[in-house]
Amino acid sequence: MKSGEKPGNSSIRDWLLFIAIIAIVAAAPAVVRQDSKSAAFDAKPLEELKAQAPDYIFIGNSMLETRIVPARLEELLGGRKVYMLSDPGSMSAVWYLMLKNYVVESGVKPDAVFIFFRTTVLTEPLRRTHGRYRKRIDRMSRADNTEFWAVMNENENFSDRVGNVVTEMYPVVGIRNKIDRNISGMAMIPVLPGELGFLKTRIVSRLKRDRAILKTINVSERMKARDALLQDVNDMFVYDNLKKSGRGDLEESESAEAYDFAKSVDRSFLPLVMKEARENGLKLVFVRVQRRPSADGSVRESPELVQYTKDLKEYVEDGGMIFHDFTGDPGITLEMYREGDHIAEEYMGYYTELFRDRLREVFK
Amino acid sequence: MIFHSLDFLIFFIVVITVYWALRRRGPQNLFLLMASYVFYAYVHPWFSVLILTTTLVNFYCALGMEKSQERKKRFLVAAAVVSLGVLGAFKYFGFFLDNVNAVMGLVGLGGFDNVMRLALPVGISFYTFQALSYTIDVYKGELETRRNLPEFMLFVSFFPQLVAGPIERAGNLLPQVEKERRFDIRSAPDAAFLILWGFYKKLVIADNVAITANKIFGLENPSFPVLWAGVFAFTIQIYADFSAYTDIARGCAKLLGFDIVKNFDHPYMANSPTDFWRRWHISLSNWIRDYLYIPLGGARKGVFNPAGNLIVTFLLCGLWHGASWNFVFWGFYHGMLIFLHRLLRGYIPRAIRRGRVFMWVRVPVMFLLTMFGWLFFRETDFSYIFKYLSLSPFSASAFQYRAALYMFLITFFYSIPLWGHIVYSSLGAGRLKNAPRGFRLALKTAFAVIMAAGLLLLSSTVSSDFIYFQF
Repeated sequence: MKSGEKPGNSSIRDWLLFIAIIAIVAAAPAVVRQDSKSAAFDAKPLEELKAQAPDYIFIGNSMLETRIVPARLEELLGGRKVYMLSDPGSMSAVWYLMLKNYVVESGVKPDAVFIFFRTTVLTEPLRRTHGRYRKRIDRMSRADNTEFWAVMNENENFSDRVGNVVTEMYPVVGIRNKIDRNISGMAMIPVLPGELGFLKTRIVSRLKRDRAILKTINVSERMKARDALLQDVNDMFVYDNLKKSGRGDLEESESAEAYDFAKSVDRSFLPLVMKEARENGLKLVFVRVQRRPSADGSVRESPELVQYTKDLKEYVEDGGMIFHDFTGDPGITLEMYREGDHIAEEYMGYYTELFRDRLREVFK
Repeated sequence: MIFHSLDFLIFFIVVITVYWALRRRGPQNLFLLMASYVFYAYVHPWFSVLILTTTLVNFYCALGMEKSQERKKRFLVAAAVVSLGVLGAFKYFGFFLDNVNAVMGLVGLGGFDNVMRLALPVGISFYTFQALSYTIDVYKGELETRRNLPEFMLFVSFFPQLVAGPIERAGNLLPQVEKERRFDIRSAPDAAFLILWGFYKKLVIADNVAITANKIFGLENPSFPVLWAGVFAFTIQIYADFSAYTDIARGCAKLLGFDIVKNFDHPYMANSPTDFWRRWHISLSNWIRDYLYIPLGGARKGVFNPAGNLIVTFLLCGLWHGASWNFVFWGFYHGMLIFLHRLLRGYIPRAIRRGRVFMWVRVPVMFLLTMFGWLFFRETDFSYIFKYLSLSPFSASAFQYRAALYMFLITFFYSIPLWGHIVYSSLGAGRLKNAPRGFRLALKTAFAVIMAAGLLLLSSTVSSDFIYFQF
């Protein structure tokens, strides 16, 4: 406090200063807003569906992408058209939105809509719907999706709502994936030949706001080289390379509450998915993928999960839809898996054939 | 209750509002005591019985010492036996049993298989040492016996530093508990910056590099370069994680009008093994120096010779960290480093030893030695440790080196703010001390904005408990 200054004045000033600091720190990151394009409804899949009018539509995440080769399936089906609505990392909330806002909205009438899923995710409505995943929800949902938001509100707790407020206030959270890619890209500079030149070109292109400069390098080749390195690094950590103590984590990862089908189904998106399909004359085929087998090739599931799956199958079939479970299929072996539950690329063609063979009745 | 949770945020807002509204020390202390027990018992209520037991034993044994001078030693022994006994039962019984079973197995006898093992109460190592330090100081005549039980209970259970330190000395914290406190708004910005920096270190640096460290240490047969990329990641993780807890604890304590000790002083800038322990987990190293090393004889012949005193101290320091031989070995490793340093420094002329050039060599060498030691800290299975030590740098492929470099760089990028902070503290902080307060605040605010943005953008998607919770 300066001499001659009243104590009260310095205290008020210090309080105002403190409040100003907190306000600046809290408000500054909120200044970065998303441009309206990136937050708007993504109508591209809708337009593609209308244009292509596919015979079969597939909905899912990387479980789907690492199993079905669309071109191979079309070949096996004698040229009938296949459309993939897949979004890596997505779960049942997104799949419902895909069905409602893309498939139903497009007006196409495919012969079947396949939904690929794993374990209990169909009745876990909040999986992958917060934080950086919220942007995906925002881009696929509409304000008039009242039933969707009703399910979300029913299931969200106080923590989730606070998280939503944070995501709303700080849309910059949505660019996390981009930041990760940039950090990864910087780490590749000394590792991949040509990366430094690529970085320099991108910086120059940005500074001069001239995308034509990027044409001086083969961007897709660079991206392929990066993806290849990342794949090779990830392959170092495949299941077989792990310590035995670390492998157990892959076998059971869901919470115990999720296994009670009767308790969870009514709060999930599953009833809405079934309702959309029935009201719009769509034949749904729920495809349960097999998780990675144990080292001895066997597939172990807890009694709770077995019961859950039985209840789920009954529910789907009672609702007039089809349920197919690949668990225990003799055609699927441990060697087909890459990391986690993903099928290795070299086996995807075979898996597609197996899929076609096992669901022959659906493709008639 | 963990710092990086919504529950703690709500808890702390309520505590700080009610606390300062109470105005007077007595009600404030009682309220803080209640809040501290709520904080501790939040997940496992029964563990609060243990902290209460340790607290009461030390409090009444100190009183007993005062009342009966001739039985002082007996009261000290009683306090130590009960406090360390509780610690031993919950933390080391399983370890003891495993070793007995191993020895019995070697001689062909069956072991004890169906013996109940106790869960480890969070923070037990910290509050046990904290309570004992009071009793020992009273015994030595360095501290007056306290008669106010609630205030003493608050000293032991003060929630910001209860679970993972710093280990406070009674001489520092008790007088603060016993005096009136006034809210000083001028210290609030510094407290807030400390808390923000702590969260940044935990959620952005530690939790992100932990992904790399955990993946690599999860490999059955990592190559030489990949392993050391993982050790580097763990080196960053453990410092960021542990120092983050301390910063958040100090910031919260500051907002409550308390000043708790610094626990880290840029340990990776240490230029010798002794210097490292003046900078790393300072409260623990001071504790073991004052209550273990010096009573053993220190650098003079005492219970053992000076080297023996040192090694025993560090063996126990390692054991404090965890009930596993790898921690003991880690302690032994640091003890040997200090021993060898003392032995060899005499051979280097003083002028060279203190020269700037030599310093630039010593710091990175000490960093590498510290990093090497973290291998023993992180890997609990000795069979893997032996495997790792036998890896050859020449048997790894070019791809393995590229992969290791990639993972090393990911870790390095996340850790840049840590190195920046070191540079700032070493070069900038001194010059800024005399700068106008407004300028310093503006600079800190700018950094705080960057940290807040960093928290939003870079917080790990996989968060975990603070590492030192397990100790």
